[in-house]
Amino acid sequence: MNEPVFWLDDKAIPFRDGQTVMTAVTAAGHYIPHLCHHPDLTPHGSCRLCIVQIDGRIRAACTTPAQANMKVTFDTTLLNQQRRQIVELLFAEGNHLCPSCEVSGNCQLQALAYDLGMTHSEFAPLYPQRETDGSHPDIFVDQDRCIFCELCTRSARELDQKNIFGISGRGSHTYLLAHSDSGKLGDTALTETDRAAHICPVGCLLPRNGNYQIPIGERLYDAQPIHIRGNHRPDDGEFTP
Amino acid sequence: MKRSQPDQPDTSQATGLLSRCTPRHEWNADLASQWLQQRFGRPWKRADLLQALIVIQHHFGSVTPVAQQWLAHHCQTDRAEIRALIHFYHFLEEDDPLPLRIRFASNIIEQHQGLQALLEQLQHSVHQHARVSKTACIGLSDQGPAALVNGFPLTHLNARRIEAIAEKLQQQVPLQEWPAEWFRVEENVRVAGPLLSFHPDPGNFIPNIRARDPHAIINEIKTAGLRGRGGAGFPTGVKWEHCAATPAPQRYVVCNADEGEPGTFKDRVLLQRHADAVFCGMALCGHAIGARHGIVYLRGEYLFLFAPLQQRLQHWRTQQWLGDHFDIEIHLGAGAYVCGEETALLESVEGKRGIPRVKPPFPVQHGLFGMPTVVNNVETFAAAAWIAEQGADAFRQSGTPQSAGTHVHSVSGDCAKPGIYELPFGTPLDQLLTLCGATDCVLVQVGGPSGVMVDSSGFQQPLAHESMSPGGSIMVFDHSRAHLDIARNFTAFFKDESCGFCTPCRAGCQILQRDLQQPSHRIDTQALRQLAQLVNDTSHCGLGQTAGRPVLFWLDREHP
Repeated sequence: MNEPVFWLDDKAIPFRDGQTVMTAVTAAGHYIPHLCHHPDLTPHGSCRLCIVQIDGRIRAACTTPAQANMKVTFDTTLLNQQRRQIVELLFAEGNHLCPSCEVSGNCQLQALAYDLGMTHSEFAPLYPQRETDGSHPDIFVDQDRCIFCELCTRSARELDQKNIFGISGRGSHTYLLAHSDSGKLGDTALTETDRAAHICPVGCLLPRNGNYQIPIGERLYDAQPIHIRGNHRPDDGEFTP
Repeated sequence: MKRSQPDQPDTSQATGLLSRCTPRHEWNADLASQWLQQRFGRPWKRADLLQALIVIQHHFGSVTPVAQQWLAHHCQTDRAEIRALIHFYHFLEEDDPLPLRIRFASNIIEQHQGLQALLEQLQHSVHQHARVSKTACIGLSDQGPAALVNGFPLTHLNARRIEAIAEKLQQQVPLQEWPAEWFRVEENVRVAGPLLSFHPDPGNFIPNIRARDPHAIINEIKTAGLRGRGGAGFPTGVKWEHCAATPAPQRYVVCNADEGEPGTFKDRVLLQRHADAVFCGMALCGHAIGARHGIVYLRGEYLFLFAPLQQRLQHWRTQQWLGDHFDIEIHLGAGAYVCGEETALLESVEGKRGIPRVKPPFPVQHGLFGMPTVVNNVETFAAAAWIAEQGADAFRQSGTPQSAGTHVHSVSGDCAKPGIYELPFGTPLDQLLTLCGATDCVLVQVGGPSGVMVDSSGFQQPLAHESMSPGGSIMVFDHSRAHLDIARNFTAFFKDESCGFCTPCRAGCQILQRDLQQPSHRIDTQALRQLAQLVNDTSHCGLGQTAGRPVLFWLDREHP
């Protein structure tokens, strides 16, 4: 029996039952920009970078189940512009100062900004002033860089079987929280070997050791853009400088 | 049948329910246990946490760290989880040292009625006795300016009334001794159609429907062409059918009484006057889909309706109209517009932050606690009960082929007779404007900030799903109002109410709101248009997908 397919622009994408547009497209060797999606975790649909157009409506590829013969529009001027603007919104919302950031060159937000042709932010920054948390011996938290992708909350729950992170507040007051009575990360059960400690796509959850050790020019996205390299970190076991 | 009558003297103190007369206490764990026992009448668990927080806040004024620790211990969780809820719901506080909290409704209607001056007047005179702030629309635009004091509404505010309130505050007169007339909430029914004349007798209604075939009920609702009255207009019978067809050990009926769309107050009036009709509709749905549990999700702003509705439900139980076959409980919201979105509402009923879920799956397949769930608006349930009693043919006699029946409109703003108007679907907007005495009408916002702004070129349009979906709110603006001010108010509303889940809505609304505050000649209209469109196109839920509309309507009209 023929495998069912759907169409990503003019490409036929085979899929299995239960796959989303994102997982099927990735399995077929193509890249859809994303930040909150991770193959090992439940889809989330919050960053909205993986927008595609289906039946005239814009949907998130990571939460849309694949269906036979579905027509998915991906590569258009407008969608690419909107993806770039979403990245610009994330830059404007947080304090993302690449030249001084520990994860510059390894950062998925920065890599997507390059990939989507962002040269500057159209939006004046909002300059949040969220709390930092230095209570944990191995992981430092700089909330001003949080993009609320919840990769940390999901990986702690689903991969480490721990309740470590969560999101609180609302709207412009949204913030990352640590599940302990004190609200400090140091009082949670997070350990350096947890997956959640090594999944942040930006510089919000920062390992205390190992920063600045890879020289500029040899970092993850220095050699290859993110649409080729994929969403990775130097410490996720798939990177050799 | 007897109507629930919240205008009657407050009797809720006797029943121990959330009442205006509740005095504030210092934290005391024994009292807390006692009140929670009274509230739930059973052991309570993690899923009841939001309701527990509301009870704690009501009696103790805030949920202090000690109370949080106690709750965390009871639910076997950590304080951070408790704080996550407190920081999500506007009406929950971690720390409120003053005995009274006054929140002024800040919808554009109240803003036009002089809210700012009244708020400042009160703030200056009583800052050491009460915390004064703003909140979103509280469903009293027809009798504003209005405010909530410790959750209970003060209507018809003016400078003299504020002076009198300040005096009470300065003399530290307890809330229960304030004049009852200050708290009177009028019904203001201007035009009553079939629904607002409908008073079913549950003593007949309940046995009758229970003797009927569930499929026949669903078919009748489908034949009637009833569509959801919350704004989206989904066919109700189809929703019930899908829910009934999903195999599951149990199902739920949820009544969405989180009437948060600014300028809407029709559901408040339906719950004030026609609670029996709403409960009958819920019982009907329960029988049709095979559900034994009904939940009314009542917005926190309607706290004053909680006690009368609870008492009414208690009466229903003593009459055995409710019982093992079907029972209804009330869940309170705590100030979150987004919880009007059906999946956010379900999250909230489960005691979590109101973050809209990914759809599909839809609630009819995977709803409350993962079970198939029908979520319908208050008016939809009342209309369903009407159909069960009067028949589908009678229902179809008013309205249009695609939008059958009548619709209840909440009218406010620059008109002589703000209030409630029940009109057949398809009634042209200008007919409603004539009825309400809007003689100098320039702009009309139909369906609230998430709806459409109509100028005189659209006044002939019919109010129906096939033209402009009316939702529940009609706000009228005369020539003295600036469209930009309206857009600013609505955009600030969306910014405050964004749940923060997805990037475009969370970050986009902040930037829209900030950039719109500039003097009009400095606004980069092209950039603003692009951003508003981005928010609408790419957001996760219905809130974000309409949050750019007020900006776009303003730009289309003034910067085409």
